[in-house]
Amino acid sequence: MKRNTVIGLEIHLQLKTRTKLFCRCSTDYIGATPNTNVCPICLAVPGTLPLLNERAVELAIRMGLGLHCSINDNTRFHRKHYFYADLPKAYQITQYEHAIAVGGYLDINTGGAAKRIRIHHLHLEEDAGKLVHPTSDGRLTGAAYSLVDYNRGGMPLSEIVSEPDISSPAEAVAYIAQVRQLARYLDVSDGEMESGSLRADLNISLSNPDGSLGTRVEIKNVNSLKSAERALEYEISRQNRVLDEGGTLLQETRLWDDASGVTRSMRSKEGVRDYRYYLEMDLAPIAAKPDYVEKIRLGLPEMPWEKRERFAKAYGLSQEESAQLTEQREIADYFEACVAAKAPPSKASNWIRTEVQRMLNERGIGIGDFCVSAQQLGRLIAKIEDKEISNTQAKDALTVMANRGTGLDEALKICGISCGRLTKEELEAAVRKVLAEEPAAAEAVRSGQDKKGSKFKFLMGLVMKETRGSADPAEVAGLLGSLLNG
Amino acid sequence: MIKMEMDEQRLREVIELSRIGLPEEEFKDVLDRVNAVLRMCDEMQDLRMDGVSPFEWDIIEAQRMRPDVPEVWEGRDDFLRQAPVRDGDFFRVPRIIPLEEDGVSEE
Amino acid sequence: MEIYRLSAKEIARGVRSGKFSAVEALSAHIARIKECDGTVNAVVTLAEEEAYRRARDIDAMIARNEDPGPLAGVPFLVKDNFCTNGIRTTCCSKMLIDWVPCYDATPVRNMRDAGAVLMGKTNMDEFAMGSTTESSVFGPTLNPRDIGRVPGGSSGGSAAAVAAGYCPIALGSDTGGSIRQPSAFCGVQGMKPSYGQVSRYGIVAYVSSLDQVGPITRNIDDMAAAMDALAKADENDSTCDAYARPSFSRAAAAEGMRGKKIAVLSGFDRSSVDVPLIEAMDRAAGVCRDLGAEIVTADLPITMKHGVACYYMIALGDASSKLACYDGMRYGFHADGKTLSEMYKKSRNLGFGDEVRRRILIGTCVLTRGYYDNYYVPATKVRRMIADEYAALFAEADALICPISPALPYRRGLVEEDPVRIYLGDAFSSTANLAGLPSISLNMGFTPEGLPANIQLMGPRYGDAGLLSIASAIERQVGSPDIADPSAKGGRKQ
Repeated sequence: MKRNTVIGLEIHLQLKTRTKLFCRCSTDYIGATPNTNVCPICLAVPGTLPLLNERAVELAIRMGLGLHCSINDNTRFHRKHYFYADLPKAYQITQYEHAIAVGGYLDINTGGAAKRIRIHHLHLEEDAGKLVHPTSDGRLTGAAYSLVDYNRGGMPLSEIVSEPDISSPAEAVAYIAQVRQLARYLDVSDGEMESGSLRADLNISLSNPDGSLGTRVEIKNVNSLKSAERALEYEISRQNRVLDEGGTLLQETRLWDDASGVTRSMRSKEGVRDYRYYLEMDLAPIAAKPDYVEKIRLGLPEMPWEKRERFAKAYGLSQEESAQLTEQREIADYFEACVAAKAPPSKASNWIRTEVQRMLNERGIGIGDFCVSAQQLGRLIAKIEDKEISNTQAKDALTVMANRGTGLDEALKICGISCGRLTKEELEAAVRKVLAEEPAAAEAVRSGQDKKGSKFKFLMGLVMKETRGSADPAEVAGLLGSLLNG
Repeated sequence: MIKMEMDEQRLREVIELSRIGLPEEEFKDVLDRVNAVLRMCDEMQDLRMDGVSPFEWDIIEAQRMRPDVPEVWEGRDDFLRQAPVRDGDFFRVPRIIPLEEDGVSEE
Repeated sequence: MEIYRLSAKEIARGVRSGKFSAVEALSAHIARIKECDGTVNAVVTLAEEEAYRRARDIDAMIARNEDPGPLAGVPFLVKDNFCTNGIRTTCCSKMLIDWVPCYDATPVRNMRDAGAVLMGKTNMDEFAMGSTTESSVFGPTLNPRDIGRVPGGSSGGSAAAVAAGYCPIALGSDTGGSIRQPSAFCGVQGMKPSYGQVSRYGIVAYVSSLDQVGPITRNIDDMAAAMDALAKADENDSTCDAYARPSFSRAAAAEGMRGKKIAVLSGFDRSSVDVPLIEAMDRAAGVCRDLGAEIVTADLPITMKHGVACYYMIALGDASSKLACYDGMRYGFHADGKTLSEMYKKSRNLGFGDEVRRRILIGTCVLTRGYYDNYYVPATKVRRMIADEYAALFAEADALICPISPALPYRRGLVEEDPVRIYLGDAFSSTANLAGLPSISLNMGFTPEGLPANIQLMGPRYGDAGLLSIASAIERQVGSPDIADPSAKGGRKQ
């Protein structure tokens, strides 16, 4: 039986602020000693009150605008109550009924097909602490005790909830990737799934072709794009199998077990949890006045999809090339600076996507740490275009620049590449020099004894060596010939 | 809006939700008190409330939002020293049974 | 005259002029505490060492010709739900019996910055849930006016302390009447400022949108001086208004009554309120009239009919939320359990007293699925209607005279079986919290048996200065209450 896949995603982004959402603790908690990145507020010490971080609001608005949402003024926070060791107040401060950004969309592309995924809303909320379990496989069940670290507690999150417009694992992956790219472009979040600054919860159900809705299952613990794809594929087949066998699906939360490649039921408690949401009266409404929002909008950079289109058109690049170059904003900027330094776009594109990318991979660095500036690379590529140097020489020079951090001219000198075209005088001097050094060979050609031309070739080779390969071979042959025969 | 009564079953759920025990001998008393409060509040439902929005504060001058500037808390060590369940740099809690907890941890 | 009989302003004047030192002033008050508190039991923690250290600092500043502030050397006490750095803060509960905060509540800091000297913490109903100060883990506080009666609550300790002369200023917190009612029962002046007037940072929360910190004193001038110290913007409390406050002392000194319109509450069953309290209201109205004000009557039908129900919905709901952080992990009472759930349940069960536990449960009930939509949400709308009803009243009048408690101070040990009757005790006082209005508990004298009769004087939102003017004007006519001698019954008007 053919059932339609209906997927909705909830993505949590850790916002790139310097402090937590409601207190002055630093957000730089990774690798810190447990429970050192804490304060009375995020530990829920009696008498403390939450204090909203203005930068978190700004970043939430930025992301909302990037997702084409409308930004609401005077939104409120709510309390979501539950007891758990990682939640000091026994309630999470989140937004429930009035999110700060609503009604947006994101266009994705899977294998050439474009699709618009609607965004229900984006809201602000605080993160919980972390539990550490001393069992050997780190699993929660069966541990005699758990250790709690509140360093992460209170970190600012924006949760992005999509409509269930996604119809396949591939689309889900494309959607997550696009959200991630947008978040990085806007400098809103690092968006790294492995380290947890981007977390995705997947909601999936299968509906029958007659339109009847299926049971919704939530999948957590997906830590990479690949996992998301595999988890969804597994879940689709699992749900189909259950339904085909005449069974019923439970509305539940399941955890993705990457090692085993299956989802496991997290709890058998049916029904909806009672979070007793109500208004958080310790915080004032969030001010997001129209002129403030407009100011943020004006400060937004070019969107990734805008840049992609513009690069293709303006630089005559293919869609695929353009996508690669604009994947990261920093590389796109690098490319444009390169072109501004007179490198032809298609050559710059090739060089950056192959040579530079390879070097970055080898060194495990980002373009921001690459010691060859875009201007330097641009000049280098321009020289190839002007036939001042060859491809091979350019690669050598680039390697020197990357390894030793030298400038272009210095690198060329080190490689022994003389720059610029040889003047006629320089070429003539080189030829004369070779002829003077090899009188026997010169005489052989002059006297017509070089029937096979090997002596001529030999002399040519010497001239090329003398000019460090920067002479034009045809020109060398011409000059050699005229000097020998003239 | 309807007038509701709190029943035993539901009260037991609420006791579980609040993570607070109630001795059996006090159960009836609390149930009666809850219902007394609800009865006291029944009359509110008779008011005409269409178009009334929930209460919000009027203020003279709103405080600015907190600037994004980090501060280190000096009292952390003292605090941990006083904590009832301290285990080195951590807080230690006993076995968590997933089926019992209504927490939403990731694993 | 013993220094403890002086007003706060007189003490500050004395210290600043060198008439006596801050240490002398402190000694006198501490001696008074030690003399009476064996009987009254208003003070739960006396921080003598810290107090003397501070008093010596004040004296050193005076010697250096530096100004310690308008409350220089004035000793004060705070309710035990105010966080005090290095000094035990228990909320009079087993849950926090050993807890020592690492920071000062903003109101405490503000008083200190004005030169006042903190002596210690006062008794209260456990976690501020109660109106008799009988549910404290430290035992009940007795009413200094009549030790067979309760001092009211939940700020019973602070009110009793001021009545007995322990200090001219004590701080309390008021969620539904917890400053005003004990002030009435102990025969002193108490004020709940407008919501947002004074920072709540460092006050162990009961109800986020109702709690307010306020001063308890024996006269309005001292009350205004305390308000000047307390009412300031605070970046640590987002609900504390950032506007620039007027001078409350100047307001209290100003001519308060001519041309004003004073409303007297009507539309309630007068026979449901003890006669002396009705008479006190009438006397207050008479005083205002004599001073040149116009007296009108005012009705608050929705407020009187639904106010207390609305209050309890909101208060109980929020209390269950704010008390959820007490789980025995990071601070507070801890009991072991085999599982996380069991640890929570045992710690909370054994740490909280009966009334607190009951209120948490009832509060969770009103927030739970189904009940939230049918009871809590309507209450938030009724709250809007009550606020609007008051706003309409204060568009026509400058102040409202009404009762605080329907009853004179109860006898001790009276166990009220009917919970609704307990709640109705808050009927007159709790709606000021719902609407965020300033309200003063003003003493109008004593009954022949020596029991105090206070009235409630309410003002419009952020009309605290104007309200102090009016209260001051009345007090100039009727006098301010004298210090109680706890060994004997009754107190005299000056």
